[in-house]
Amino acid sequence: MSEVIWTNEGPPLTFRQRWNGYLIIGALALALLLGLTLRSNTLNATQTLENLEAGIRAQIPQGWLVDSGGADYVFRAEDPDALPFKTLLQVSILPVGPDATPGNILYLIDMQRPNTLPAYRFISRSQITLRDGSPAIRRTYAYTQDERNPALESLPIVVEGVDVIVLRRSQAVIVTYREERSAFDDNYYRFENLLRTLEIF
Amino acid sequence: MSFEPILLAPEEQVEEIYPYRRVWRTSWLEIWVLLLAVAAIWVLTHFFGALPATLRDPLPKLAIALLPLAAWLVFSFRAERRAPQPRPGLVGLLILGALAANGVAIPLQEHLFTPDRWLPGQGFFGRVLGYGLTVGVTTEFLKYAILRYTGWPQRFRQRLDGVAYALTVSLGFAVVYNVHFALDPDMTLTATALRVASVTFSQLGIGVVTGYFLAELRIGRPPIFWLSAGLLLAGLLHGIYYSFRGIAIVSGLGVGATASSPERGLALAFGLVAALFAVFAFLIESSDARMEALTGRREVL
Repeated sequence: MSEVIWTNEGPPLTFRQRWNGYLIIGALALALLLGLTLRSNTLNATQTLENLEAGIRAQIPQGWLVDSGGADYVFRAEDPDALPFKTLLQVSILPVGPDATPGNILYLIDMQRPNTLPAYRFISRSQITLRDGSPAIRRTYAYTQDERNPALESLPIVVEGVDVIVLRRSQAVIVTYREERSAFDDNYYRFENLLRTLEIF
Repeated sequence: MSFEPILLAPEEQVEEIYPYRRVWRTSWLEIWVLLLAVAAIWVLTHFFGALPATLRDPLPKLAIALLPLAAWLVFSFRAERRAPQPRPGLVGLLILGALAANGVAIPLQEHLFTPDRWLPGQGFFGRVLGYGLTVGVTTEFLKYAILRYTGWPQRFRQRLDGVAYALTVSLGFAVVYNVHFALDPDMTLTATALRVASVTFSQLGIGVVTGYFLAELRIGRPPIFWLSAGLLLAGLLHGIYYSFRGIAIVSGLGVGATASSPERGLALAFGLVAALFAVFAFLIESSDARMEALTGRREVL
């Protein structure tokens, strides 16, 4: 029987083989461009939410569950697919007096939050400037949330939150983002999108 | 009047020796071994209770994750070594496949494509396109690149060489994915076994597409967009499998804690690999027969 001797030198490539090699790279680039565009459009698709009574208009992620019937908020949007914590974006309005400062609002919130959020911890506070030039206060905090179904026997999860408080005439607008700690940074862009598109009129 | 003499001691008919490893036969053996092992684990866990349903020890999970590799060494690699004309460089391709999966495919999937973040909310066709045009094409392009820049075209003498080499690279991919699942502390042994079989079957089945298109480019005279079409086809097959798998696992009614049914996902993966093996065996056989009719031989010398 004849023995096959393998060499690293292959036969010269034909025109078809060479062009197949070039075009497959183009096909990969085109496919990735389409795929990543589809991904980006899906992740960043938004819907407009408008509350004429409160004078608020904003863009929130498409497909999120919206609750605008709360007593202490204008609207609250939650990601129904997120696990283990439903990512939350919320806009609230507090009526304030003419001498109120953002510091007063923070103090009020810090008094109320420990009563409703278990193991509430204030983390940081900073001054920021919104896109339209108005000053605001950004405050981060954390708390724990227990699974409501005891049959699941799960550990409490740590939720990280951020509030941006800005004064508008006789109102304090509080924009809130809450997310499970490990996914907080990944989804922070959703909060930034909300802040960027928020209109108060 | 003529008659043919009847010989008392007829000449022994010399059977032609097939000089290469029979790729389909050894690959089927590997698939059946894995399928039976996974079925045994599932039956022992759910019907006889011999294995605890919450078993999460890493060693048995690693064993089932590495079973496809062991089956490949026993059936394919050993048969290759015994063949009169063995295909060289298989172990190197296996290692390159594993390295590409661990170093490129998995990081891209986990940090850039992140299909679990945006595809579950999509419809069927959205999932097919979304998964196929990101994870699918990247996976198959990596396999193509490994084959193209190591043994192509000099080691591709016949169309089945493309299948043999592509299956080896795909196995490298599957083993790395399997080990990742096995090292996940939350996965039980049964869940790992079902996932290992699903991943291995889908990687092997779709890997055949890439191997076939590369081999045809070496041997036949396909058009200049042949490989691009093959890449998109293989990528979209990943997308179709991903979409149907979601439907197969979560559809249906159940009275348990969840209505999910991972064994239907396994059946789907087995159906996929069986269908793709059958289709490409037919395509290769008919192409080889056509070439033999035209040129009198089935391989490129």
